[in-house]
Amino acid sequence: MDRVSRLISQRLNSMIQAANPHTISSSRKAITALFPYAVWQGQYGRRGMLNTFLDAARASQDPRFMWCWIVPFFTTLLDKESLVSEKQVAILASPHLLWWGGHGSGKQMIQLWALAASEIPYSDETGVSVVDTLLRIASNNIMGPYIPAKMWLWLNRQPSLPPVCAGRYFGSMWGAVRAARATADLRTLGSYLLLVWSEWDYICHDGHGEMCTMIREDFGGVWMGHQRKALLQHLDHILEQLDLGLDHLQQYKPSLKKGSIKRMKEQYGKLKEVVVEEDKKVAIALACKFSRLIIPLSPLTPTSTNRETLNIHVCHPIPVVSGLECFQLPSTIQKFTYPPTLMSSPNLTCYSSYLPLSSCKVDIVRTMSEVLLYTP
Amino acid sequence: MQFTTLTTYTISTHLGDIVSRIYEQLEQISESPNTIQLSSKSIAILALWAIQFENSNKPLLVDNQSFSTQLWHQIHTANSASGAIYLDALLRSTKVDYSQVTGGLAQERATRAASLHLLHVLSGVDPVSAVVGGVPQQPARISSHYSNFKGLLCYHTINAIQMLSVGKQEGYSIGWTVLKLHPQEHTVFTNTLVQVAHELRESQKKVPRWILRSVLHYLSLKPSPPTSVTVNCLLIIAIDLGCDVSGNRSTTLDQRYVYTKQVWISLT
Repeated sequence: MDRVSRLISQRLNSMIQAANPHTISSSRKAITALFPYAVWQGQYGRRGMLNTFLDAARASQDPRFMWCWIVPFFTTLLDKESLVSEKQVAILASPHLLWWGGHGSGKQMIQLWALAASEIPYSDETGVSVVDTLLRIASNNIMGPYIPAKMWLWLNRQPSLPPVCAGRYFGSMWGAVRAARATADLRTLGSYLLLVWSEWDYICHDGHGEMCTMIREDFGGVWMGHQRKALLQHLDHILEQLDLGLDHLQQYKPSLKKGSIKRMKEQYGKLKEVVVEEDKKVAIALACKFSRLIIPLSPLTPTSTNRETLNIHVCHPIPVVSGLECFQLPSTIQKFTYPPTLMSSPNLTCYSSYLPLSSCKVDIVRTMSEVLLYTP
Repeated sequence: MQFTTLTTYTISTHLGDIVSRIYEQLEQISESPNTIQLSSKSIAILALWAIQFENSNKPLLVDNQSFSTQLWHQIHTANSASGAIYLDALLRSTKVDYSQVTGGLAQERATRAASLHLLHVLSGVDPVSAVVGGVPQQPARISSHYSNFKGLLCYHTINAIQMLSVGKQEGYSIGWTVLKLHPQEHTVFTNTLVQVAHELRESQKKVPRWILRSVLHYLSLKPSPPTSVTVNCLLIIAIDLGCDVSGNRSTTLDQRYVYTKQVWISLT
């Protein structure tokens, strides 16, 4: 048995090293049939075959690498009664399974998967697998709603998805965007976009449109300024990477094509436009709402010596300081004191969660005779 | 041409043809996608295990007390033309009752006879015309009546083949959980799969899905299957991946004739 096992390992390793995804993918059924044996070996501390299996699955770049008939065995690994090591194996292999196809109860499997994920110790590897799988499942309009809400929090861990990661593309599909939006958690939504947007994959067409809508509807408003800033930084990074050219990117993802780069540049450029557009909208809105604030501030100069503490009365968590940032004032507050009204405001928590006030020190030269005051 | 000669001839030269004929006949059988099913092709290949037994040159023993003396006598003398003719008569007969078979050896012999019977039905080979003409071409008539295989060692297998062969296949689902193979069948069955996989691979064909599915089934079992079965499954995977298993394979195939009496309760 060991001889045959070694023979298979050697063959698989040579296929992986040859880096021909098609060759590996064409043997996916046989390799899938090997999976239970690899798991069985792993239980005796021999993880060699299991690692080879996972490497082969990744190298195939086939989003439905594991044969559908593995589902019954796969489900037994996720079962409540299974060992933690078995659950861990299932979690690691889960991105290579097609989660829909009528060979099992999707809802039950997803619930078992979520439960298993919560029981295994976190590592970068498991984080990547869980997020990869989550995005794949979410892309399916039927399966997506079965994902427990707590599973979306895995996105906030921001695991570093590899260049070849089918979940990233699946996650950009319309269904996945809708499922992410359904969480109604802005932090998770931000994490979601930061994970799905990448120089390694273009965005699914219908998902792209939904993302533009999401930015406008969920990331609009002055209180989302920092989220937009993070998104803009990420988009700038992607566009910079894309500017490095195809040869550079193909070192890490050989399957990238010239047409893909062009398409990605268009898509991410468009997304950047939408984010910038939202920033501008906020600026205009602030200019209208805070006219009393804006007009007196406009003649400020950094050389002025008339410095006073800026007191901002905010009766509603409208981040005036964020508004100032939007106008790109050259400096920041030297000292910032909260007026009693703000300190006692029930919205203070919300306010400070969006604004790192400690870093928002605007050097305000007060030429105004009145305290900046805004009462909606 | 003697019956055993025909069998040997078939194995050495036309195993692929026979298997192909079986596949063709069973190709139309629909499978329900919602249950874990044994491929109908797998059922067909089960019939081949009987050939393997015959080909192993095991001495044929007779148990005259356990079943029809005439039957056992004919089977015992199956190396004669009359044996083949008798089988043909059996094939065309309306009903054969194996239910009175008792005793290990008798059961074993009866199972072989029944398997051969069904093999010829499934493969469309007319034993007589094969004997006479040398080339199996004329399809055999399939009996419209059921034989009673209860009492045979491989009752489930034979019954499944019977069900598939007599035209009741539509709506008849045979799953691994339903088909309870006798412990002795598993090693022989997987040996056959290795052989078929190897022959197909050598003729530049892919290992068919139903064989890989059978492998997946065996390797997924808890507790793990016997070592011989696991090795056979790994060999099939190795063959599909294009490994050179000639050295390993010969060792395993040499072992296939070892009559193991492993008790595999979980599968029976």
